[in-house]
Amino acid sequence: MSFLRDISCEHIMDSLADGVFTVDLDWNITFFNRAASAITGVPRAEALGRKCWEVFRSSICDGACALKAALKAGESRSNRSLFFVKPDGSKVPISISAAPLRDRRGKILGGVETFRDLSALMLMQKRLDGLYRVEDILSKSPVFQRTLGILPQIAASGSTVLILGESGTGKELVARAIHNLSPRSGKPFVAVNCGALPENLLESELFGHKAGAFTDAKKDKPGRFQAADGGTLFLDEIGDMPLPLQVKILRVLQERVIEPLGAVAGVPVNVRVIAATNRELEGMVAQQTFRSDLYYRLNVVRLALPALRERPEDIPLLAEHFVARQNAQHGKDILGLAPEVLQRLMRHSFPGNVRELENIIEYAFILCPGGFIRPEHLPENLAPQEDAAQAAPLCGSLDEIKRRAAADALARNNGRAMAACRELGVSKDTLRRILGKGRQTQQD
Amino acid sequence: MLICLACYGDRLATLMESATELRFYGVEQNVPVPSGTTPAPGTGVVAMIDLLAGLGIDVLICGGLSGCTLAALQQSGVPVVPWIGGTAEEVATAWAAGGAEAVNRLRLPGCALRGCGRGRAGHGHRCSPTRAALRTPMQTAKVEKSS
Repeated sequence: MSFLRDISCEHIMDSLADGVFTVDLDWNITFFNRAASAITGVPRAEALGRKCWEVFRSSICDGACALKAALKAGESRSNRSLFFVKPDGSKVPISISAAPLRDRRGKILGGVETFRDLSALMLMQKRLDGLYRVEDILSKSPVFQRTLGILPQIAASGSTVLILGESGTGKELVARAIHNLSPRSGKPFVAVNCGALPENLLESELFGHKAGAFTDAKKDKPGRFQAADGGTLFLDEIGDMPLPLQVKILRVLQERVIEPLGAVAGVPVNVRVIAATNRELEGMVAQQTFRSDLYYRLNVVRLALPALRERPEDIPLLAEHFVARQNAQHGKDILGLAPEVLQRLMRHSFPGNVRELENIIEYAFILCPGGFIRPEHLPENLAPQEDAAQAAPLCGSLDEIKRRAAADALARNNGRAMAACRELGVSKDTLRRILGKGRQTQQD
Repeated sequence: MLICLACYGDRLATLMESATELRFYGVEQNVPVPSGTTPAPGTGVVAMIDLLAGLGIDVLICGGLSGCTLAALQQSGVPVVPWIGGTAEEVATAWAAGGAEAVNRLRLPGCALRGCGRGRAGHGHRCSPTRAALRTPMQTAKVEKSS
């Protein structure tokens, strides 16, 4: 144990990844290690001498303090999960342990609290469990915010929902958020991709079958409707559903009864249906490739999710989120995107929407050894095209040039609309109008 | 002028969300005049915001708060001076004597005037108008409002 003589206790504490602070009996902070400062966002110099609740700002500081309980009981309290609020207003999930500090005679002099940032763990856990809430859908776009703002009422209504949006816009995420906000949240959320299975298989998958219904049907198998009983069934790519099956879905929606293959009687089910598609259902109804009665039955509540190119202000925010997620998943410490990468992403049209952005970041993580993600870490199909666009900045219509300038300004300012406005010398409304014109041009 | 302090015991609550009591003060000749207290609604921050919006206070002074709560307060039209610490008396006296400028001297550690609560979540990144949408019908409370 001789090494301890040469190394100060403070030095050891500063090398820990967990936050550690100590308080005296008046709750004044007497020690605050480097990790504590990094996790809380409070510099050590500002923390020392202040009351612990003024620095820690956790959900238990007012009334349920673990440190107080530890001091009162004279023994440690460990592994309580809670959150604290950082100066930027974000909530950070942590686990804490608290214990009394004693002198050599056993007299209590104060307390020590250690805490661990669980953000990365929670991020991964959330992804595994699919427990997405509205707060997990990241957007600064006013259009998307309006949509998200009405989700609680939609969730509470119990009505059938039709979610429209291009591939990769987050239709399933929204469906999960509706389910998790609804009174059905304690029951299953079952997702089925109607475009992924052939008709016969899809029917059996949805409604189940009885033993002997067809060759190889050796025993009864419940379908997805039964699996989702009491909860929510998410029918993705409903536009790809074959016409004969559409009739059966219509019957379930009308009568709340399913008929497994080979069954002689219907089985009542209590399922909320949320359907989604990236296809133009109204056009399909006109062409008689989608049943109009099913369309109107599904179209009780309709949500249209904007494409990523229609909300470029969200690109930096989403990119930052995916970098954090990849860091947590791969144990890396990538700092973020280099400005020129962000600029390229802001100019990209993202036909694959948010999913494409996620894939780009995932690809970059493979190539990026550390520090910031740089242009050479981007997929090849992205880089040359963007270089060409950069080489000829004044090509295209005036609206397109304005849109590009606005997108570039947003990229330079990390998606902050007001900062971009200041740089361009335009109002926020003008910026929105310019970006809006760009959208119309692209749609035309 | 009616100010409201989100308190826990005799001090500002660490987080606005965990306040147990709302204390109200009027201001007369640069001196705070206590004008009432009410327990914070136990049904959560949304109910508290409804209550504050219904009271028509001039300013809410509180400790830390999440970006979602800040956004919901702003949407409800409640002026807020967040990230302040100290005893209720200390804060009320500072406000009565010098308004926001004086109260800003009582900001919590790590919360410089620029930046706190205006970062990520403050812009509504991780929260949406959902909280505002979730609000229950406006609640009211009787508070003696001093001139």
